[in-house]
Amino acid sequence: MNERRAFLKGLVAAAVPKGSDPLTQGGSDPLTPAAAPDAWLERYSRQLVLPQWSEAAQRALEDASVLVVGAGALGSPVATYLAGAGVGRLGVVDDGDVEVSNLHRQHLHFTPDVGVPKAHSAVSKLGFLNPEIVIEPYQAAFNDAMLEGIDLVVDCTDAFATRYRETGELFGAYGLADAVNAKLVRRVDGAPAVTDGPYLEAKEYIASFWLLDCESEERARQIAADLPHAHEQPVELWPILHEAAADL
Amino acid sequence: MLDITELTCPMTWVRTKLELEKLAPGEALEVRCPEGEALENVPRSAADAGHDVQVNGALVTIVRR
Repeated sequence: MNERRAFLKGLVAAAVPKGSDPLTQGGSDPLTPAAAPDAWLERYSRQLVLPQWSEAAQRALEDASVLVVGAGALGSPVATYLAGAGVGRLGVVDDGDVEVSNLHRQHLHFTPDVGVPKAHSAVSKLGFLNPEIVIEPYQAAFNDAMLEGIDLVVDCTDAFATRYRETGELFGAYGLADAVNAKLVRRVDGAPAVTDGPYLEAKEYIASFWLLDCESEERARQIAADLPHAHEQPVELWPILHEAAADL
Repeated sequence: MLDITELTCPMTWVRTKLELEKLAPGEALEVRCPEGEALENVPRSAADAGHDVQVNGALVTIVRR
């Protein structure tokens, strides 16, 4: 931690004018509109000059609150550009810590940040990037209480499969081909006898399935409810018995 | 009258554009430009944005579209 602190202090000394150290401020100060209009103009000049943009649009952006959920490979560039563009209040949500294996693609985290909560690592860099905006770290999993006063939420979390493969709970995720491709196999006179189609009795088709190994059924419920389509399609949760029970 | 003689490109056009945004369509803005690059760029950028532009020496008159 001391090493990281020294590293960031070095960055401050090199890059930030005295009195505007984002570290000692524990974040950054809101833009005071009267302060240094020329600096404001310089900072945003390359977007103010765009035909589709204007001073009114820039002010509206400064009044906006955006929550970036996830400070990884997607959240890093998203939060970087939103901070640079001048979104007035930016929240960064991540409950993980920086790992050395993250660094090659998660550009808000540097080597001295390894072991540090990602939300804090990201926010300290964003404070250097744009000290004129308010940037808040949330070292927690996303929850609805974070939506208070937020205009826009950007979901930059892992894909479902990535997330639960990393926790070691997801063994496999499979989509099934259309049911017309299914075959029925029996053994007749010691040889396989194959007919087309699934069981005639089947009233519903399974489109895909996931193999999970979790500590409890409650945990399995949580994971099932986290599937991207779970808000519109029910997910059937089905405990698997030991191999020996397969003969039943 | 907007004086941008102390500015360099592209801030010359940035300032001019922001002043134009404050005007109603049909209103005119007089801009005092520095000699050189800006005197080419500012009238061209204003014309590209669809405004009417007249240049008289270092004085550029832009009528907001």
